[in-house]
Amino acid sequence: MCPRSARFHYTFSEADILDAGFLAIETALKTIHEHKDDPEYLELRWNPKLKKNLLKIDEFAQTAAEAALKVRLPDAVEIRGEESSLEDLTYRLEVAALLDMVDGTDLLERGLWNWCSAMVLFNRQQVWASLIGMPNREIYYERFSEAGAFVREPRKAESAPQIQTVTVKEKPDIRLQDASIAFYGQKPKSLLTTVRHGGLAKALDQIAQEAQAKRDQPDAPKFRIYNLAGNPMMMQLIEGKIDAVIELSGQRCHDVIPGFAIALKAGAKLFDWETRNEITTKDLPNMLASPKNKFKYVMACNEQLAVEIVDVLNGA
Amino acid sequence: MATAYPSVAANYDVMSAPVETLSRRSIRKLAPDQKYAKARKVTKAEAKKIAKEGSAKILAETGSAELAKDFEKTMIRILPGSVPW
Repeated sequence: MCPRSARFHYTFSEADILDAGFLAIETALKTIHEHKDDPEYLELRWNPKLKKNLLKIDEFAQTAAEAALKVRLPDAVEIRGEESSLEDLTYRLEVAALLDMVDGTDLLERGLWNWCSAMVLFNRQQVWASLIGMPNREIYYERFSEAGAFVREPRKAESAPQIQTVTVKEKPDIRLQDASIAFYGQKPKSLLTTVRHGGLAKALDQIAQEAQAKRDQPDAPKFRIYNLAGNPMMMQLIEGKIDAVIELSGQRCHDVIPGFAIALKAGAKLFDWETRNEITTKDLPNMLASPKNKFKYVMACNEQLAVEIVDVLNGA
Repeated sequence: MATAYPSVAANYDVMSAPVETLSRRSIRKLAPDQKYAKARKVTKAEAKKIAKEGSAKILAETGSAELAKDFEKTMIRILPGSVPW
């Protein structure tokens, strides 16, 4: 155990940390909604420190969230993110934060909906809280001390915000041929990696043939596949709109871990498809140690479907 | 001010107090939904801190005073009072 952990736990409670997370996500969402229709904020700008092009709105949202965290958790938060730094964490401060305040920048830029503001707050031993703010201003979250996952609806007037428990919709009998699958395929390389995967291509071919053969029958496969994935689609999995999210070539921590943490607590099943190992919430702190880590995974609404997809990807 | 802290004023109504007058300990005592309702509020002073912190970062990273000022103005406009959506 870290020798300074006793002092760390004393300084800020889990509630303080979650509270700071809410403020950061709300501030980012407000910043995005303030500027998302202004073309000036949707132009790429060169950031000399990060040596990459960023949208002004991306830079503003990330900076706003970082500033909110630093104000609520003064001198206690070590921040990493796609728009700040992906260096390994030192854990010298009480809380580590991994942020991606515009996850799906290209979609926001085009006025499409599958973006979110995502954050995970943690230390070496545990994930304190994960939060995902959606375009409609709902905030999905989980916290260390509670077993479940929750959604906080946008507040109306001065009343307290409505908080509801969310659980993955039960679909005990669903099989791949009737499932809705999402994968990240917006860039040519990731799209081609997925569609050219031997096991998956074979399974899709079989489903296509069966759909053709049974096209006028009630038991024709209902399979659908969408090339949008990551944190926002994991929230759609919780809501029962998607049955599985798969990633064949690997996505970085900030693109997946907030969604992993929330969906796992909501009841989703998660596997590393290459090793076939199940991933649980206990594995997340280790996965977060290096924000550059990439993960190849299958997340599904139940274990049976997850295992079926893992088998397909491994050519079983 | 004694009335600002429930621990020294047993009958003090925490929920009716402005959050900026509550100690961290008294905020922790609130039930979760009450806590979010109270702690969500951002005071003008806190909004200014966020604006200054962020604009300093933008200035350091981009060297653009204009961009930093724009960020600061945005924060001051959208944050104080944490107006419900």
